[in-house]
Amino acid sequence: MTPPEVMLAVKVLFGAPVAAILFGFFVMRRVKPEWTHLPILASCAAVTAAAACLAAYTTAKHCLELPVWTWAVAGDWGVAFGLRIDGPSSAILAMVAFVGSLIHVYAAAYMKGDKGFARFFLVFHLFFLAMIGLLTANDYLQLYLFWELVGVSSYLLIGFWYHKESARKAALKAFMTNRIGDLGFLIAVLMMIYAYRSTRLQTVYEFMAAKPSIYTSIIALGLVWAAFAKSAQWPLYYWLPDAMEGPTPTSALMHAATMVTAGVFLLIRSWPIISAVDGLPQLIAWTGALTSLGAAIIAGTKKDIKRILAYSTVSHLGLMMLAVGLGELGTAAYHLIVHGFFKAALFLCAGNIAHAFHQSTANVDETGGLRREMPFTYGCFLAAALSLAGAPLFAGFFSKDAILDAAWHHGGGLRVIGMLIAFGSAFYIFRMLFLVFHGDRKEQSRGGRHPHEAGPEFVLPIFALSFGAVVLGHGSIREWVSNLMTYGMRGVPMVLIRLKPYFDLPGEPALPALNWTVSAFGTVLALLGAGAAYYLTMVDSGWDWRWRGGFAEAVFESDFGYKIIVGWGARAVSWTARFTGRVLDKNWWDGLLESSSDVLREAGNALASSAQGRVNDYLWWMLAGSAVLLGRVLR
Amino acid sequence: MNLTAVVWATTGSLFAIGLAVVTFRRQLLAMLLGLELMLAAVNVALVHHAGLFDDAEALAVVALVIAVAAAEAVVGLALILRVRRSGRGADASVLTELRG
Amino acid sequence: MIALAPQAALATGVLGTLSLGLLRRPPALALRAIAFTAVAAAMLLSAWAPAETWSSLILTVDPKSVGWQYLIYLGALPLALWIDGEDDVLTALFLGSTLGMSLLASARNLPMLFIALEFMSLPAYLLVARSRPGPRGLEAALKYFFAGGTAGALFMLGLSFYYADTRVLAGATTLNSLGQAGAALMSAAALFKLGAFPLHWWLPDVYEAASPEVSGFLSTAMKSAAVLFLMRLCELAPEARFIAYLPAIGAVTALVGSVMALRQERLQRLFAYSSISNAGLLILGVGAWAAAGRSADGVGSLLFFLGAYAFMSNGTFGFLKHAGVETREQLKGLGKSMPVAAAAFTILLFSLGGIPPTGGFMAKLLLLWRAVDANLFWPVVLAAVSALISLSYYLGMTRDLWFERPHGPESAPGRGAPLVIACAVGIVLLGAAPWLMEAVVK
Repeated sequence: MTPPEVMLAVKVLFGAPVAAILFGFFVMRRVKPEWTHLPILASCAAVTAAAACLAAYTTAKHCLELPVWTWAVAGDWGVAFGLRIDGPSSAILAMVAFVGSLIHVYAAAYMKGDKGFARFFLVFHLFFLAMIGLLTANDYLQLYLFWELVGVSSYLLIGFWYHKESARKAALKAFMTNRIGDLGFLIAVLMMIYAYRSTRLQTVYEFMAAKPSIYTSIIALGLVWAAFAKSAQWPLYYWLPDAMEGPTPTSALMHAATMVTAGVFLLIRSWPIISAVDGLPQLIAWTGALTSLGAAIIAGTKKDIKRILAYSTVSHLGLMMLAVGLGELGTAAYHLIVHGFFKAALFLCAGNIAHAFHQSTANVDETGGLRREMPFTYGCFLAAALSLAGAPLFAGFFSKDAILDAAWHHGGGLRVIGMLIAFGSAFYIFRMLFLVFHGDRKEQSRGGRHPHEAGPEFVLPIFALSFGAVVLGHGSIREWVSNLMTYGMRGVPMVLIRLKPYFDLPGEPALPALNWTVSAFGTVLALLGAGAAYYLTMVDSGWDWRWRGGFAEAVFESDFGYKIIVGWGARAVSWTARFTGRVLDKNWWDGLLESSSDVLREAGNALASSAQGRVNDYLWWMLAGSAVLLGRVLR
Repeated sequence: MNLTAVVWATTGSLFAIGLAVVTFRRQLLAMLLGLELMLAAVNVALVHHAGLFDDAEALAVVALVIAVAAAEAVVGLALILRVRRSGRGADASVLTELRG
Repeated sequence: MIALAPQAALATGVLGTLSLGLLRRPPALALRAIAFTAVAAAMLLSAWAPAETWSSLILTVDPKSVGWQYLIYLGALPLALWIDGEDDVLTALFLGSTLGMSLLASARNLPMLFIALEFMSLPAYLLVARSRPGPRGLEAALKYFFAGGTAGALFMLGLSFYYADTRVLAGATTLNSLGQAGAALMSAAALFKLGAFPLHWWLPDVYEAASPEVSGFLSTAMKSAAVLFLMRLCELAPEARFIAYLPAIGAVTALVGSVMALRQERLQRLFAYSSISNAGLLILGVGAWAAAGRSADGVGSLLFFLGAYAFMSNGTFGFLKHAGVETREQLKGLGKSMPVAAAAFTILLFSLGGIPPTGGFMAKLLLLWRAVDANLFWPVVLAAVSALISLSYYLGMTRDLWFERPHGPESAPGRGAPLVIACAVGIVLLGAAPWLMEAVVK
């Protein structure tokens, strides 16, 4: 039986954010909007405590599956809401809670004085709640509900400064792309209902074990498509760089640590389904690898600091996808967690920089030499950057190299791409480091602004995050994640032979031990990347990326994919519209519509005119009807 | 020719007459009579078969049907009287205000 | 005889109202109080029914009948609240009709079914005549009377055929041609009461002529009773062949109802056709239930539909009474003059149209799902088409309420707003938590 403190933790997990949002909406907004963040921060603390409790519970090898509420039942199908708190979800939940709370604290300082302060916090916390719901769902329909909610809050937050047209467009682009992905999710869910009469995770797993079929492929493809949209993989990645229009805390929480990782989480959850389809894991792995490489290259060419980090996120998501595709779910989850820490730290540093320049973001052309003026930010950035690049003993080293290790063992092209990614990520992050923090101060572009370190409330959260980015590589943490992932898929039927046999089997860790050869190789490449960055920024800073024109420019512009898709889509739609308008509509459809409404009207008139109101007529009809029925019955 | 056939013939024709009266005549009072005729016809059949199957329950049903028919007649008469007194006459073709 | 306590309560109510009528001037609202107390008491007593079932030759009190009674009382409650407190005969008629319905719920064999049918119909004819003094009420009552009387006669003819064929008055297992003919005739009577095409002609006239609250009563309680009538018939004549035709009849009825409602200008008549359309759905539901083996679970969707419909129909007719409107033209601009009531009305309209997340949507969904489960493809398609058609006038009325200017002088609103709002709330609750209904009924 579940101990009472766990039940309490579950209730707090959901109840605290709901209460905070309602309280903030109805009370604080009216009374004192500048204090809206207080109940919300309290809720964050409560949620973190609850998440920790649940993590402890699941570490003790328990898995919590709790039906909560049945909404509607029609025959043997019903819509039921419930919770599933097992290894993957509690591990990621712990990260989300912790990182999210820190970002909430940062946001309180960053957004101070903004007119929409209250609105920001309420939507921000709504997103937080939606993420919690997503991670603990035990039913695909419930997951879909929270998936959508996350998308909606993303839209609201990207377009937060709605008077800026670029923000509005970016929000719409993000939402539309998500919708395209959600179509896949919806198809998958409908297929589940049709084929299995249920959308509960456990039930679907069991069906998978029983008999995979054509539906499996459709469901799996739908889910993968949705995950690609949410986690910004090719070809649905173009929304993420534009999403940087939102305030930095948004970018840090949603588009680095949590929302975009929802896609990876979905794939982890759906692994029994996906692994049952031939070729799909390879597709995921290759898409992830190629996206990762491409994004890493693009990141090395951008000038807006938030955009560089956005592409970096795409790249790391690609790495997670690569890990998932290779069946290394534990590694993917671990990288998800570690990435959450260092990416959030990097984004918040970018926020500091932007804030120092009194802008919403900053351009590398304007910055330079900031390490003297903003030493704390520099220190945190450096730590997080080293973790990202995979410097030995930093957390990122363990997580990233585990993935590279898996790619290496897979052999072939992925091996090479993995190494190239190692090179590329070190390159772009150190390029950013050097351009922003080292070098000369660019007095002209500063325009008289004196950037300086903001107060402790800006730095402390980043410090905590960077600290995490460094120490999470410790063996105990790795072992904890490994245990959680190993025992986390408890209850998944073992008949799923394509599943890596370490699930539910003691002794085989979900995080394999590090292969030092590969790691050494990776570290060397990272050093090369950092060196290249140093050379190209500090030494030969005049290199103005000459090759950045024409085709290359088109390719590297993130909108490339979007424009192609939208362009072709628009052309197809307009052609269809013209065809239907001219041919079908005028001749067929209009006629059909008009005639059908005419028919209805005539029918009504005919029936009505036959009803003169005489009771005898009524009886006639009655008798006629009864006679017909009699005749048919006696046939 | 056995009794059952005769009974059915009687019932059938009485019922048919009653039905025809209700459907085709316009005077409300006549229609009411037709209604009563139909129920009486059914009673004939029921009584015969009750005797045939030696079933007392069916006879009880007949008694109840007679009672119901009487109640129906009361209600019908009340309504018809009302209509007569309202001055529009007791004719079905007059009652055509509600239509469509 | 604790088992028949609800009926006793209603009977006491009848006697009470009639006795009160003997007084020269009965105290105001006393009759309404008696009516309400009687119905409420019946509701409570039926919910509190003893666990043991009791049955005689002709009546039975078991959990199933209790559930149906509950539904009937639910439909009757609003009229009990709103009935004209001055007219003792009216109240007695109302209670009498309700009593007949509750007897129908407990009926055990076919003759009892007939008796209960007439018991609930005769007062209803008079109720219609008396509820709105004037020629129209009389005319509608007469039409109702003759049509209903003929239906009753057909039922009895059918009963005699059935009896002659099977020697029993309930539950025969094999039916020869004579018995089949009998069952078919009896079903014709049931379908008449429900308002199936082509036996529906009485319904629009009656609903139009009676005062709105009475129409509400007829459309909810009487409809529940009629559905129960049909279902009992299916149970008591299980091998009857007419059962197979029910889905088709239901679908056609639904379609006809929707189409005819399109061109109605008078609101009570419009809602009468809407009622016919819903009755078509119910017939379809009964057909599906019978096709799926008459299981106890299958009844759930029908009960839910009727419960939801009780809210919807009483609410809409209640709004008509409250706003004092008669035609669609008069609806225009009411959103401005009585926003809360109009909002509640809009919710009810949406529910009738089957727009999520209202109870009406849930009800239609459950019913159609069951029908699909029973492999009834074309009837479901037709029913869906009829629902689509019906949306046009529901949404049209919504548009009239909110987006059009009022044309004539505003009528003074009555005091029925709380009822309308209560119904709207109820329907929304049902939409959000359908299991509430099941819990209650079980």
